[in-house]
Amino acid sequence: LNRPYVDTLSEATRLKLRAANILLGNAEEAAYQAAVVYHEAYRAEARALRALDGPSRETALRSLVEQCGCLVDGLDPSGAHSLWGRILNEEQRLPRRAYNALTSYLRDRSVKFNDRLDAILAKGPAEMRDDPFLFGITIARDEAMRRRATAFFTQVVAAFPGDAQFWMLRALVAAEAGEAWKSIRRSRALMPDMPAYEMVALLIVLGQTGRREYVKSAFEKLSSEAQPEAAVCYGVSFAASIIALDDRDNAFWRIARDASILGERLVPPQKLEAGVFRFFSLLATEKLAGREPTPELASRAGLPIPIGSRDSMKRVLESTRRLVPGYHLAAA
Amino acid sequence: LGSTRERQATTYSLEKLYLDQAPDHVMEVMAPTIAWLSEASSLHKRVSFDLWHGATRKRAAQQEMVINWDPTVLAAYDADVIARAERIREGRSALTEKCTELAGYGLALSAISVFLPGRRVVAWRKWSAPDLLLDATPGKLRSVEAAARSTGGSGALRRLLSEKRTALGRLPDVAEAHVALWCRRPRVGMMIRVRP
Repeated sequence: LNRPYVDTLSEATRLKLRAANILLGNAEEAAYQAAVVYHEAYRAEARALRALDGPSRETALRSLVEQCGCLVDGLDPSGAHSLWGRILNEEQRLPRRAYNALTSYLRDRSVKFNDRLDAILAKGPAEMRDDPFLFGITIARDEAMRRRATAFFTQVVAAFPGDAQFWMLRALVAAEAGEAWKSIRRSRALMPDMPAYEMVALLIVLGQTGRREYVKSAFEKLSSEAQPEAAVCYGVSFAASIIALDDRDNAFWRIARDASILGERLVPPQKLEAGVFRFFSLLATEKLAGREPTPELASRAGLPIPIGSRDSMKRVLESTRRLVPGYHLAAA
Repeated sequence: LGSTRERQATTYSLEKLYLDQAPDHVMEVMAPTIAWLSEASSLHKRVSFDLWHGATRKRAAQQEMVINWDPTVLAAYDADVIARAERIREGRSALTEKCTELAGYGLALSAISVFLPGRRVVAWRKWSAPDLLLDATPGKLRSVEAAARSTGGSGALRRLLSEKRTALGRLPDVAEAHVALWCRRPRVGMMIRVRP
């Protein structure tokens, strides 16, 4: 008997029962509170599987199905979709009868779950129907669009309060800082291990007082980490560059340069993200040398950004957000 | 199903669940179980099920299973449990899918304590059968598959039993399986071994 395995399964059981009880209590925000507990149950199920030495395919599939189910119960379509993909990958590795028996209940429930998500996304602003995640990151400074997007993501998180990525998108489009931070906190409570939070926080903090101290301290933390995250390197490079441009402060160009050099080491050289980091480090190096770079620097760094003759450097900086949606970078 | 001639009666007090099963699991199912079992606006303290029980489906015999609870004793384990059960009822969620599901587990824990004495549920796996694991050893699961229905009586439970047996029969890593099924109106139940 593998005691850590059984104890962790028991812990996951208690959490699932707790979450179901929260829903029964009809308290205010019960759906969100229950979702947080279902996410804890999901992590406990995943830990239990890791406690096994070489689990069989059936045992691993059972665990994946339960993890995915916890996220369906936890109203998290983004998380559930990601796990569903892993479940599909097991299809060829198990006898069909056993695979179907283990997955049919989840499959049936997932269809309804996805239909509900599709119905809500279909009501969204036209600009985001093709790629809601990219849209959330690249949302323009257009206030009307920002209001429409905020209203839309508010509806989305009301229907799916367990989806950490939707909360993060709501944070990115929120016009008001308090709402943005609340959304980040909610997102992080659901999925505490996603490195993209720090990056999103850095993007949000740019519109606020105290941004210089926040970015400095984020850079110090980043520099001291044994395993820095590319997403955070991007956030620091971007935020420091914006501050350096606004305040004409070389200290922030140095932060941007060092964070981008670190980031470039963390991503494969052929990836677009590497080009983004190269762009930040070239820009900072030019500025620190007292030269005035032109927007063509983006082309020199290998970035596919169409540059107009009147484009400001700030506009070019902003456009890198199009290329580096936080989730993709975080996954890298 | 088998004979109804030799009808026996078994009584189980819900407060015993705190001793017979994992207390932190019991704590989460007790209030919804009491809310689901109580028909009237006030919370009943004793209910009776016509229960089919047996080592196989054909050898199952009908007996009465009485489930009761003493609020004072329950309060010693969990001071708030009766108030929570009342809130569930007042919130009109006593008949929702979630309450029915949790009550099904609460009643299955009771049946396990009565008919499989000494055995404890170690894990609940909601998304694939079997859902209640008595032994989670990979490849040799020993288990009880539980479900509850608000209505439908014996007919509904027989259909459910047939579905559950078929589903459990397809799983190579299940060494032992029982099925525990409950209907609220009329009050009927089944606790039947289906594997091996």
